[in-house]
Amino acid sequence: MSLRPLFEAAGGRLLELPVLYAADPFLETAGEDIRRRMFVTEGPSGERLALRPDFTIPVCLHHLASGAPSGRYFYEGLVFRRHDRGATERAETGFEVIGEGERSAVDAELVAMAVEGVRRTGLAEMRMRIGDIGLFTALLAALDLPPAWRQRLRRAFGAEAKMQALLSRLAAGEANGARPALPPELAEAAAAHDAAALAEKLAERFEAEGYQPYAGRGPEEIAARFLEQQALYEASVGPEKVRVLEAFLAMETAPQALGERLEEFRRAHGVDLSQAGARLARRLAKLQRRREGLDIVFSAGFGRPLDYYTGLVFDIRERASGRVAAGGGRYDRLLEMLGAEAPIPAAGFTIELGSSGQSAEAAR
Amino acid sequence: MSETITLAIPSKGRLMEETERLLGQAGYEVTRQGGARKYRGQVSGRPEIDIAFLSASEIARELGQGRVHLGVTGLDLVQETIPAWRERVAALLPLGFGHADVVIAVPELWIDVAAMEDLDDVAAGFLARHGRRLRIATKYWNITQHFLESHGMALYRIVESLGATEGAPAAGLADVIVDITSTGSTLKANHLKVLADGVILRSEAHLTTSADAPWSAAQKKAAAELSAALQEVVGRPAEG
Repeated sequence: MSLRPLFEAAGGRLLELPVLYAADPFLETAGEDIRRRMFVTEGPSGERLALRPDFTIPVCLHHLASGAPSGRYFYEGLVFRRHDRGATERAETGFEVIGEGERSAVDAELVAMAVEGVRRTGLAEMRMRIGDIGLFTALLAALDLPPAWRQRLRRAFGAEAKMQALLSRLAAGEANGARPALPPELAEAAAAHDAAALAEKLAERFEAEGYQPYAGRGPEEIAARFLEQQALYEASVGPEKVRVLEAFLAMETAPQALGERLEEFRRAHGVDLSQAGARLARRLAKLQRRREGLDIVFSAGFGRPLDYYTGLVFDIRERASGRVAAGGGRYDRLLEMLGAEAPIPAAGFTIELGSSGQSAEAAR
Repeated sequence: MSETITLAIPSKGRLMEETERLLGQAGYEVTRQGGARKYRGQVSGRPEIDIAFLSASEIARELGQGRVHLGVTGLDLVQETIPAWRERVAALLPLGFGHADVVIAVPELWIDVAAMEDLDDVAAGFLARHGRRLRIATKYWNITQHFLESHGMALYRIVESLGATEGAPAAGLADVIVDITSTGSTLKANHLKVLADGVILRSEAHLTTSADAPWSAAQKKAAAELSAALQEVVGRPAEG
């Protein structure tokens, strides 16, 4: 069923979007992971084209091309993704708000709209999970971790297996595996922590080895990161902080109890997240128009491991089966990655309308 | 229904020689009908076996489609060429030749990159720093994607490379490579190093059994006999 009345009431404009797109924007933002699921073909002059694997990027591209400062858009149609099993064409609908700075109000509005949308597709019993990388970032800052580890942990946020692997290595004190020995002329500059000298030696070697200049990572970048890593190898994180991280990531709570849980967390681990927590709690409070048949859980470790998601994320599942019915979040970095000159706030959600394979089956 | 089985073996080079030698030792002497140019062969005294001479990557493809019953080809090609290969392949017997590793290698001068987690760090900052994703040159799309996924790495691009992959970083066509190496000397000559945890796959030639080929009882028996005879010669158990 169409959610058009719901979306129009929220000020959305229906976009009729192309099916075929230049493949590069998808590849540049989401990486090869999406590429593996994309149907890619060649255009008449050899350019790579793709069947749209989602709607968010097409909507963003539309917005950028329009030149409008802000916009509210919705869509309904098929997306095309390769799966080892299951349908490759799936019908989706969704709503995106681009260029509106009232972040927490927009987030709250989108969450409520997604819940109502899912309800109108016929789902009565649902469970919503909310996460926010902001609280995790606050924890990383409070723990005073070396910057390189902070970045690694932040990137692993939402990728469970990766996070687990990082934490167990940190806990075992294995952050500092042996580094391979450097050639003597480099080792001298490295030992002296002299980035300029090290970069110069590297530049000489690059040239001697026949590398095209400026083809990729340059000597300065490599020298700087090498010295930064060296500092990291000399630092140690310790099992104490790992336990704090683990306790945080395992935290699940009803949104209204978040403040209480963070207070318990402070007492148990000596880390005060009340400032970031209070901000988040205020935003969560707005989401909580209680609804029959809806459970809401704030899950401290829930996130999406894509670098353009910057804040609140959520998904809605069918309570009994656990099937994902909708997902969304704030992606303030995406438009810039797609070519905007300055960051543009943006957030949205997608609701699954089922695969066309299923409806074909049902028709039989 | 036909009662013969088709065994695909490499049509040229050392892989062909080693395969025929091993089959001979196991009592399966390969003969060519009408001279060396034919693409079909027989096994003396074994009318139940047809030989198809194909390139190693065609063998993997035909096994995946179930158009040949058995084939001798590299494990790298089985994993790369056959979608969901674990389900399409009924058994694998390592044959002890054609050894080579599929590895991920970076320029030696990336002194700050020793292991996959370093590469992950570098990939994460690449777009912001260089205006594009980290590029990986390879002909092994599928193996590379699965490996990087297992390391939680998504921020990269694959550029297809159909030859001289090891030259891609110096030429500025890619930043790192995934390629096959047996001695490492080509990597070294191109000033590349394998990451500490960068061996993706230790490959060798395998007798590979297609799960999707049509199998009658007699065909299963013929395949089992061949596999047992090879196993005897090689002295290693089958997998999978």
